[in-house]
Amino acid sequence: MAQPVSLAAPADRLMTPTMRVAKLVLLGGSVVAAIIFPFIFTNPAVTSIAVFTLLFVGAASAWNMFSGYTGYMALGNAVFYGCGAYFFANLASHLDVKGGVGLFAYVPLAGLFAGLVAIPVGWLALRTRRHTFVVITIAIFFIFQLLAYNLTGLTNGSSGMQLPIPPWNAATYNTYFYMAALVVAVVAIGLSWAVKRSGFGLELLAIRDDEDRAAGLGVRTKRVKLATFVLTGFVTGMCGAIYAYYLGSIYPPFAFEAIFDVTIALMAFLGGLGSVSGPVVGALIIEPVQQYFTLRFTGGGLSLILFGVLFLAVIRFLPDGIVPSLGAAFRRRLGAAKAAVDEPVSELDTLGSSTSEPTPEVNGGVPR
Amino acid sequence: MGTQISKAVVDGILTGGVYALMAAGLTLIFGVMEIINIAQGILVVLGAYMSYTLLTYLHIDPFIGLIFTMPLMFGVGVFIEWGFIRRLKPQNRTALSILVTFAIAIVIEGLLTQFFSSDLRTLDAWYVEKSLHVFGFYLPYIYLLGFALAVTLLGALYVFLYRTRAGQSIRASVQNRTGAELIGINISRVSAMTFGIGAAVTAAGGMVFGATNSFNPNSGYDLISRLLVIIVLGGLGSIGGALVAAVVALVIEDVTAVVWSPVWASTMFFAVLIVVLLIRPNGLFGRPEARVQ
Amino acid sequence: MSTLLEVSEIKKTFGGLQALGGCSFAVEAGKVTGLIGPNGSGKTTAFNIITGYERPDSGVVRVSGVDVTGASPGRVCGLGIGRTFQLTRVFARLTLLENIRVGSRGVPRSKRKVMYSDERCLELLDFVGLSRMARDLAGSLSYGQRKLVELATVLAQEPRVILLDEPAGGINPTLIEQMAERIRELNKGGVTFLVVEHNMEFVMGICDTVAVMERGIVIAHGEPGQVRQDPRVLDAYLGGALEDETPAVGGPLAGAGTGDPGTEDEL
Repeated sequence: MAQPVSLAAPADRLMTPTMRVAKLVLLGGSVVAAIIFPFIFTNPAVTSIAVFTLLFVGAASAWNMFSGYTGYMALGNAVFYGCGAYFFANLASHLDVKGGVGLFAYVPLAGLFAGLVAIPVGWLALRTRRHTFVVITIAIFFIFQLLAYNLTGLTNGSSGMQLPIPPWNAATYNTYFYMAALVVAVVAIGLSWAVKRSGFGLELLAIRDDEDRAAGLGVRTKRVKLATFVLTGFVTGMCGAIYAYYLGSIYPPFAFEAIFDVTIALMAFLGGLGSVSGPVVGALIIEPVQQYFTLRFTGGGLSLILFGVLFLAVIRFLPDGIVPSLGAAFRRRLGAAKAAVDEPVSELDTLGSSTSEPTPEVNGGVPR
Repeated sequence: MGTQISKAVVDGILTGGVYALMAAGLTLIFGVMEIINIAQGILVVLGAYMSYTLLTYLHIDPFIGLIFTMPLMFGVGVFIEWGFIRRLKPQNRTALSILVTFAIAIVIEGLLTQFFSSDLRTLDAWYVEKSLHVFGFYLPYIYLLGFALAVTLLGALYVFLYRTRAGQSIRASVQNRTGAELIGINISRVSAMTFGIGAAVTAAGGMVFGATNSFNPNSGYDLISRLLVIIVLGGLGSIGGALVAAVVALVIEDVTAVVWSPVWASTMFFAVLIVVLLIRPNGLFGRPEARVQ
Repeated sequence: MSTLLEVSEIKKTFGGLQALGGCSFAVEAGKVTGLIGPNGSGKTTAFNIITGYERPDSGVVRVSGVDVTGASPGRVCGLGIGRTFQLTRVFARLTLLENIRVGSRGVPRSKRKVMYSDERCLELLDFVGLSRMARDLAGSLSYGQRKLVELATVLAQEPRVILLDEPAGGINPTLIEQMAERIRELNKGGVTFLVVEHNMEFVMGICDTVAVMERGIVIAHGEPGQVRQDPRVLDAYLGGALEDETPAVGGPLAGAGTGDPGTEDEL
């Protein structure tokens, strides 16, 4: 009695084998391009922006893995960034390690530390529901910032900490950091993708749509949320460690920066919350822009004004983010026959959507 | 030590009152609209700059200047609500409102930096330096006047909310937004009014803040972090809670500065929130968030 | 003739309002039990308490004799009790298959592969007539279709007893009949049901016994035919709040109630 139903994804069903190959080629091509990038564009100004961009790709993906998938907006991830940074700095100084490639090996340790910090932080913050949750993460962020200033034994307070300077020459300096940041970014994207495809990811997305019902169906919501939160901490911590290493020194207001939290949220938003490639796209667009603003409009408030306006424009005009919007347009062109079913009926849910495939992403359905 | 602690407590109460006023606006906005106005901090700074401008260029006394700044800020609030908040779709309003108001705050900060630069300013009126000598310690007049102002405005707010029809519609909306709409309350107008009130109180709070602290556009972050802590501590949506929370948190902070060390005072302020939330996850007077069905 | 689910002297007060004032009834294994009563009589509150979404102030809930009062919704689910909601809930941004699979997370891994295999999931969707749309987002479905998805998700967990909260509410008569059909089919297969409904025709059509609630307590319990004539029941409906239980002409509980058309659109 059951009609034969294709179990392929809606978009895949419509894709010819040629297109599927094209998608893989595109993915492979991006990876290759990313790897050879610093060797082609050797201008240190460019590669410097690239390093920061990759760090944000990682941090935004990590943020999205929790906040995008579960819908709990965390605005305190800078806590992990800063903890990773300071742990790394402390490790380097206590172990008396010289600058060099070897020091990168400690980055995952910094990530682990940040992940550990995420356990009590997450436990505390996740006791509350969404509204209060956001505020708690903000409050915790400020506590950590204050701790950075006050726990001078660990952080040297406002005097900051120095990191070992690696012995590379000016031409290749950025390249090492670029590669390290690329590795972390790939890890972040990989984790994000793996989580989304897994049953674990299904639980997160169910929590986003209807947490109580998910719990009622047997999902261990507390555990799942905390586990993801810790993963986010881990990745973000690694980004923070590389950041500290790259800058060569680190101070409380830079390690724990309020704007960081908002920036990664904006990036995920722009690219598309809940999609794997969204934060990547968002970071690739916004970070170079932000760097440009900072360099061009130093001192004045112009960079802030522009950033804020950009932010508002994104929320206003692209509430679903780039990737889901593109995905929907793509599917519309391909699926004339299925258009009636696929096309969103009315106002779209602004937190984006998900399917089990990494790309292209599908737009949200009718809100309830 | 005893007098020091007493002074700390009194200081805490006096500044707490002012913070309570600003927090009341913030929590009222949440109560009516279910949004968290991150821009509240920078609005306080904006209020400080307004009073500063009136004082420095027109020589208008800061308290008198409130006659201008408060309505002006009310207008700013209404504008923000109408221009940005109203368009937010119902899904995830709260989360989006945080991002939107954060963006607005950044823009305002940028504008202030452009016009006033990052130099620290402060409001210099005759009473800012003078103190009242009582019970063996000195209470700066500005603290007392600021507290009196806060109490007066909070009283006015109470009267407004409980004795006027407009206030009644606001209270109805807090209790049950849909229900209020069903009985004919114009939610848009109520929202605009609430946001306006929330902003207007920052004009007063900003003036006192500007008179008791040196400030620059960057001061907004510290302010909003404290205000957020206060409203969560008191329970989102509860004005009474905000009052109690503000005074309690500030007293604890000031006493910590005396008893332990000034360095750790601010950290204690935030730590109080953590401790309370461990016992009461919804804040002192908060209601648990409604479950669907 | 064993009692599968038993509710005993449940009391619950919200603020100043007493929702349940000593509610007691039993659900026999293998039967379809109806739970009816005027609006505000406490039916959904009873459901919420049985399934762990609310805690009672006092009283006991027993499943197969085991006291489960106050258990969390997840635990209740693990005990084999499934439930649908008055306002149908689905995971709007997940596909139908994914919706069903959410339930797999509460099941031990060893069982998961079997219970939630592609074949079985499609079978379930086919049972509710939605297998064509397996890979479509639940949010793009009509209200009636979502009701069916909700049912399929519950069925996937192979519950012993299913609590249905207004399964006929807000959908067209054809779909109502389909819903009734499916309940009968599942019941034949051994699933016990507890159904809250306002649609009297529906209730009389599928229920083996009916319990009537009014103001937080059960005032009558028996076969549909009996209950229909019970004076206390008539009094409850006629004397109490008359909203959508408007009796049709020809007898208070004869004819169809109109469900709750005002709250949901039917598509």
